[in-house]
This record gives sequence, C-alpha cells and structure tokens, in this order.
Amino acid sequence: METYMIPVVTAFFGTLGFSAYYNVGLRIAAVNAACSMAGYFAYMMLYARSGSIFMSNLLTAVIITVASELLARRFRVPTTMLLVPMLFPEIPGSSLYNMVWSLFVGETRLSLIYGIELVKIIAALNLGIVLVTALIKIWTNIRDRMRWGRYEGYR
Amino acid sequence: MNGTEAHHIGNCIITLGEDLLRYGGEVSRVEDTVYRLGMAYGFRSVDCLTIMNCIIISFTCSDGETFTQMRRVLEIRKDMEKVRACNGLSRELCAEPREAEIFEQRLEEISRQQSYLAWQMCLIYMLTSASMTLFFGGSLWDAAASGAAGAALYLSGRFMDLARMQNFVTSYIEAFMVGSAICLMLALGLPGHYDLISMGNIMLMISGSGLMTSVRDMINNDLLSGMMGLVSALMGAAAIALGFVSAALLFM
Repeated sequence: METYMIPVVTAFFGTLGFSAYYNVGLRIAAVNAACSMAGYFAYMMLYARSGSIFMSNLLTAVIITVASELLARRFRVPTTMLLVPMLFPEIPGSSLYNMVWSLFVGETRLSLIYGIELVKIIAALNLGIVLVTALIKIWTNIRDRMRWGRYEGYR
Repeated sequence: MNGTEAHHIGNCIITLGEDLLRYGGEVSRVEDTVYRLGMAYGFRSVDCLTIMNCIIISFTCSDGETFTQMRRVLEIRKDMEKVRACNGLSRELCAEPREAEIFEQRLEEISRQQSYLAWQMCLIYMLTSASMTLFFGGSLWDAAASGAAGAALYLSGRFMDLARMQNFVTSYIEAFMVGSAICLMLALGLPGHYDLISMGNIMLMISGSGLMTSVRDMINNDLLSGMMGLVSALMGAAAIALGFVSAALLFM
C-alpha cells in the first residue's frame, strides 16, 4: 500500500494545479483532483493485476469518463472541464521524454519501445473515452426520439 | 424578426461560438450551441461548420433571406470557466431568447471574467511541476528544482506571449529555456535528476486535451478538426521533448 501512497497523493496535487492551469474554479478543481486520485489508484490496481499498459489505461479511461459524464450533469458544467484534468496523471509525459532522449543518445531500440508504449497509452485513453461517449450519445438520441419524436441537437 | 435584427442576433450567436472555440470548447459543442441558439431565435435553418480554428455559419431567416459569416480563431486560450459561462448563457437563451443588446452585454461580461492572477498562476505552475516530479519518483530536492523550473516555465510562457511566434517554435523555445534553467540549477550543485525534473514540467506543457479529444473528434465525424488537433498536439509534444533534450545535450 505504501508504494501507492506517493503517486496517488501527488496525482491529487498535480491535477489540482492542472485544473487551475485550465482556469477551472477551485470547487470543480478539487472534485477533479479527488477523482483523478481515485482514478490513478484504480489504474495502479488494474496494472498490478493485468500487467498490461493498454488494458489498465483503457479501463481507467472508461471509469474516469463515466465519472466525468455523471459529475458534469450533477454540476451542470461541460464534460471537458472534468475529463481532461481527471486524466492528467495518465498523460504519457515520461514515455515521450524517454523516447526522444533515447533517440538522441543513440538507443534506437529503446526509443522504439518507449514510442510503442506512448502510442498504446494514447490509443487506450482515446478508446476508453470514445466507448463511453458513444454509449451516452446512443442513449441521448434514443431518449430525445422517445420524448420529442426527433433528436434535438445539431447532428 | 426583421432583417437587421436577424443580422444582429446572428452576429451575437457567431460571437458566442467564436468565444467557445477560443476558450477551448469542443468543435461539436460549438456547432450544437450555434444550432440550438439559431433555432431558439426562430431562424428557419442553421448550418454550421467548425474546424479547429475557424467557424462558418449560415442562417436562413423566416422570410427566406440567408446570410453567412466566417470567423477565424487565431489564438486559443484554454479557459474552462469561460466555456462554462458561454454554455450557461446558451442554455439560458435557448430557454428564453432575449434581445440582441442583452445578448451582447452578457458576452461582454463573459470576456471580462477574471482568471487567476499572475502570482497565483506562477504558484499553480510550481505546484503542478513539483507534484508531477514526485509522482514520477523524484526526491524532495527534485521536486524543489521542478517547482523552480515551473516558475521559469511560467515566465518563459509570458515572454513567448510577447514574441507571438508559431506554436511549434514557441513550445520548443519554452522547453529549451526551462531545460537550460534546470541545467543551471544542477550545475550550481543542486542534487537532482534532470530527467525527473523535466518530466514534471513536460506534463504541464504537453497538450493533454489535444491528445485525448482529437480521436474523439474524429469518431464524431469531425475528421478535419480531429486530425488537425492530433497533428498539432503531436508536433507540440515533439517540440517540447526536443527542447528539453537539446538543452541537456548542450549544457550537461
């Protein structure tokens, strides 16, 4: 449990700062930070179980997207205001740095490994977000059709 | 609604769309907002095409007159509170459409909304960078150096705002300046790790929203915006990593 402590706590403060960087108000920033902390804890548990970077990032993205969609409705704010900061600790900044560094010091093979890791993480996060967003859009469209006989939005 | 009024309202609607895009709203949100507002104000049809930095809107009034406007958004400054305010205004006006003057006044109020002050923003950069360095396994010394580098990042950002250069060049120069500041701290004897300190700052600079929402845009049929967003985010990320690595190779 102790090994989880530092990343989880720093994920909280990192997300708090990142939310403020996007000019999110303090109340929502605190919600983002708490959810991001829980999300990163879930990521570490999932990674410890599966050992797969792709699966653990995918499931974390699904969990966080569901949380952000629900909380966006609760607080009446745009989902992006919650989703992007909540996924902040999952952004593959270290893979990016290591990939470019390895490339420059001549470790091409290592650079390729980090590059693949980077692509896997970005793909998993996007896939997780898309899965949940698509399901919500299907639900919204069906609800609108049942309520008004047509979809109310633009597309 | 007569022609002049329709033009006035159409102008306000496109300004709201422009503001949403400028403050970091998604393409689909901009199009949906414009469409819903247009319908609420009684236009017969509304067509809107939005890409990452441009909006084209065409309104057809009830008398059949059509007018089209295009707005180019050259500078995007993420400000989620303003996106929220624009969204709130749109909901309010869809429920109860108000006169164009009131619409304009509300838009003005949103654009005047205060963001964090400069010193608060500097502290936010320091907190985030230091936290992320600890997150990647850095020591307290690394976190302290990262916090100082975060302040350097904030200052270099302000400086680059004055220079007004292309995004790729701006990202590279900012990263190089921060990387050089870290090298200086380490050369002065601070016991830290260049890679961990850099990673803490990279996290703040990298366009997380670009990387995470561009594929979603593509799936939403906004292929052009999605591709532009992804390419822009990847180019930005490459520039940032190159800036840090080249500073290290040059000064260490």
